Amino acid sequence: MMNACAVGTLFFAPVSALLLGFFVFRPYWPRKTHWPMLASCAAVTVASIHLAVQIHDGRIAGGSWELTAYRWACAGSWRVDFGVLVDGLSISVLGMVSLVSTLIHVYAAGYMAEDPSFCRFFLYFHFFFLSMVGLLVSNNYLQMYVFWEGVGLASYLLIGFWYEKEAARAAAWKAFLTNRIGDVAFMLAVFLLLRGLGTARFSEVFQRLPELSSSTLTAAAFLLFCGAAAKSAQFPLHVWLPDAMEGPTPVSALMHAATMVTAGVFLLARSMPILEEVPGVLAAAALIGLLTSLGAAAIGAMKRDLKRVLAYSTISQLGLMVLAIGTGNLFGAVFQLITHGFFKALLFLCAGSVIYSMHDSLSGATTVTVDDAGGLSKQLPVTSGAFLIAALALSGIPPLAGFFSKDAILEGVFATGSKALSVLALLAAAGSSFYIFRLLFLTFLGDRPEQRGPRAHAHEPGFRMKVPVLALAVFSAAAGSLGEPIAKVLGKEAPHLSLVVSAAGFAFAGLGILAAYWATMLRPGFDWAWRRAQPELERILDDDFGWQSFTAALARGVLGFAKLLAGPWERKTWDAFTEALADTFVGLGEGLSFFSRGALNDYLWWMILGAAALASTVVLCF
Amino acid sequence: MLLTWLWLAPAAAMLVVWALPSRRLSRAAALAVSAGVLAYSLWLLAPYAAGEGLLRLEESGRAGPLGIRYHLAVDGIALPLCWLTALLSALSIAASWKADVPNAFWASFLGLESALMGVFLSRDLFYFFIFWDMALVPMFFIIGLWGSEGRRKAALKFALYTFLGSLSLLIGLAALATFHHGATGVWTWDMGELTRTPVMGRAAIWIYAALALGFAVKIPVFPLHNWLPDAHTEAPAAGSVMLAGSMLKMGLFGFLRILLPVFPELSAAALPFLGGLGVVNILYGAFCAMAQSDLKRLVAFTSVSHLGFCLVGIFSLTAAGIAGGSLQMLNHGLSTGGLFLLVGMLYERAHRRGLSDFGALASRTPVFAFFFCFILLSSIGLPGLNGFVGEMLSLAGMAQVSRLLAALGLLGAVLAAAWGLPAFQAVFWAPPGTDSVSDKIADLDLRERAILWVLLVLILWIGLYPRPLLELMEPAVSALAQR
Repeated sequence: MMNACAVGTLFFAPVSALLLGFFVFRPYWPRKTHWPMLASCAAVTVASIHLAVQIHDGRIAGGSWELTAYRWACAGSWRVDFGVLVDGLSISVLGMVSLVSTLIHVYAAGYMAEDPSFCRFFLYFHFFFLSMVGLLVSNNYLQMYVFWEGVGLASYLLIGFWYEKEAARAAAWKAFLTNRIGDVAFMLAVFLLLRGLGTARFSEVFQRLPELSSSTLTAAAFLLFCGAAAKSAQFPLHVWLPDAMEGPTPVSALMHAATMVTAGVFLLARSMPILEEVPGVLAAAALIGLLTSLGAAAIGAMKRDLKRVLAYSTISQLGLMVLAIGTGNLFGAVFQLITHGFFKALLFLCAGSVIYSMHDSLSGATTVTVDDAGGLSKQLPVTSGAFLIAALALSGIPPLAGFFSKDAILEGVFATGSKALSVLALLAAAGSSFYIFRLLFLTFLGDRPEQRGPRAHAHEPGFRMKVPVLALAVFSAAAGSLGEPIAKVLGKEAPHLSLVVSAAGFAFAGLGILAAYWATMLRPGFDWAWRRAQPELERILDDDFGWQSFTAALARGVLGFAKLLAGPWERKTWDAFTEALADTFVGLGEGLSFFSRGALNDYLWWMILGAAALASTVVLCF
Repeated sequence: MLLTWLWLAPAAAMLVVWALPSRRLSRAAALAVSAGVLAYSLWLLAPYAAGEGLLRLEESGRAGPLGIRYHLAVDGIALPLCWLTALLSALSIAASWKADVPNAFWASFLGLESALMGVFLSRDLFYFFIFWDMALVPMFFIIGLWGSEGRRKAALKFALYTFLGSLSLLIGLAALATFHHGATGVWTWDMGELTRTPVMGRAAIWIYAALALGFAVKIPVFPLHNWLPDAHTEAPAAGSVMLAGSMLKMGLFGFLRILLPVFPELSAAALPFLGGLGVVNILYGAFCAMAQSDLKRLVAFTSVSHLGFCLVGIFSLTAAGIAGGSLQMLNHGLSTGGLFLLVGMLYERAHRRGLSDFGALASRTPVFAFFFCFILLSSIGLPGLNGFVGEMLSLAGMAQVSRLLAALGLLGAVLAAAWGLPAFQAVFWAPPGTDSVSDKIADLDLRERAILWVLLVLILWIGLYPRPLLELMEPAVSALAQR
């Protein structure tokens, strides 16, 4: 009974908060819209923690609980039931998502307090949250897809929240369009499953996989991976994520930590039984993940924009998760997903506090570059401390959270026995500690002539924004201890630390930090010097190794094709041809000439005549 | 008489409305009648709800000359289309409330409603054709008399195209009846009886082609679509709503009602061709929509794209596909109809329709922006709203037959984001340009909000809980499905 209530809360709390917000708070108390949302977040968090404990303690038979809510659609022999699946995978991710989202909601209430569209912001924001919760506890692919696109829509509306800005509009559209490409792949995979099995329900699909032909299975696995790659910003579909910075910073935090990009990795984790049947797709996932991770780390290491560094950091970290999936290491991927949620949310909130502290009015202020910052630790001691904790966690320094999850991933990679893969994964780990500490040093420490340095009026944000930051700092530090319970609910064996892997991981992370220290503190002008010396290199990295301009050209090409089709062909050729043809006929036919006379009223009489004829036939035949 | 009232009531009311002494009175009467027909058509569901099945709703007269027989019946595919017609008629009349137009305008809508009801109800090919042609007349006037600047040309184009289509249809229907007479010695135009006698040989192909051509012009299927953008662009908003929402469905309905049951083998043989044309429709319409700068023309091309989904679904000949195609007919009526209403409301205020004529409407007219965004999202197939269900089932059905066509059709979903969102952003988000008329736009009044709320609730309901409709369609659909 308690469990049913908890599951019900997952949906009813956000839905009723949204309805309340839209119909009651929006017209009457728009400035208080955050209250129902906060209440709903708290309720969902409590419910999901309750369920997590239940599953962990083995009080739910079989460790998973499925419930059919209603039959959504039926056609022919197909039946699509919507329902809820609460198992180790969904509940462990849900616990993190609801906890992090709650804290970000609190932060956003402070951050957005001055914004004239406060109410609209919270409606979108909470819809984002609802969609993610629904996605996580769906029991079939179709329902998951519904929320999957709900997440996409919410991100579109939030990236474009400050729509007066050209960049925000462009970024919002780019995000939606790129995600749609992935969505199409996802949908096609669902079609293949429906075609082969007549169902999209996880439990049935995974049980009846042997019924599928190997080509169908391969295609479905590959398409699911493509869908996940778009959502989780994997190369070559990562292009939307860096631009998505245009939204308000709490949106970035939510999107990068809890609600958007994690959806792709979750889809892969959910589809693990399918992926495991197709080793080729797993290998491709591992390669793409590694490539993305390395490339994004390299790009992130040179960006000057605070939030962009963090964005590429997300791409890089997601690459590691996908790499874990590719090595068949479900636990590593999920564990990293969860710890990453905590420390990445913290990093973004800290970045938000920096932005907040440096701008007088927020509207339109989405970021700061390192040129504006430097030495901020004096004015923002709490923020810089929290940032340090998050950076250590991200780098994988023990005993912070990232160390354990990164270690779990590295264990899996080492277990494959591939030396090249292991070295590259270690390099990616070193890269992440380099870019994050470079950012930390450039922003919070030092007194460099190239930087404008701390402004006199920069100040710590208020209480509402400080509390979530501190809470997330605690989680980022301590979430490493979640490894054991997560492994238990996933049904995997508990992680064990192997000295070689841990030592290698730690050493490479340390190396990255030292390199960052050298490049920013020992040689304070280095970041500016190499840009002056190598403008070409900066351009290439800025362009994602040419990929950004390629996709832009592709989009222009498609639009050009559309214009060609609609103008010269449709309008000037085909339409003109039919009209010329018609003119000829009308010219020939005397009987049709009253069209051109415009004697339209004559036709009224035709209409009456027709009606009369019809009526008389009816009478005749009755 | 239960079904006869559905077309007879608006037809009779048309004459009354026309003859009324004042414009205001005529307008009020038209709205009252259309609302009454809507309520009545919903009440027809009562026997179904009581478990008696829809087929109890059937009525017929005695056979006249040449075996022509007045015969009406309704099934799970036709009834929702009748609801849609009744709903859109009422909403169209309500939406043009402020237009200063003569009685004939209001009468035309009732005439149109009557003819459309007749098309969806007829079981006799002769009556089907009469109603089919009767539907063209009021629409011709609506475009030609009360349209915008280019109305003359658009009405002429509409008339010529549909006239040629009707001609092809008439020849096909007459040939079908004659063929049946030749084979069995019995004259009949009854769809049920014709289904029982298979038409074979070369003649069947010609008959099939003639009928398909007649229906294809109406849908319209590429490359016979030229009349549509002009007709939609020039028609008054309410006319576009009826044209897109209800009238285009006549062609698809013809496929479902005549071609699929009478020619099952030929339909299976035509699958790659007509299914392929459906995919072409999806992509062609979407590409053309992407490049439009006139909001109404843009919506017209999206209509071409959406009806492609219907065609793909229907010609998958699978239960899922046909159900999806039939549902998509309904969805398209609600979403595209809604978009035309919204564009009409904009036009009524500013007398402009260009994408670059506005800007920043999201902050100036938030209510309008909300409705536009919502209905646009349903139109681009966002899951959870109605459009997704129809598109998904249509393509999933097609995937059972041809994975390639389904995959190509799915590209329409990407393109939908490429035509839908930039248009939305240009009108509602982008800062207004120098010659923007955004300042003159007042937000929606109570009447307009009420109209849109009706659509919004239906859109959400079908998106979240399409099962009742799918179950209603189920018997009719499984009778048509070949696998």
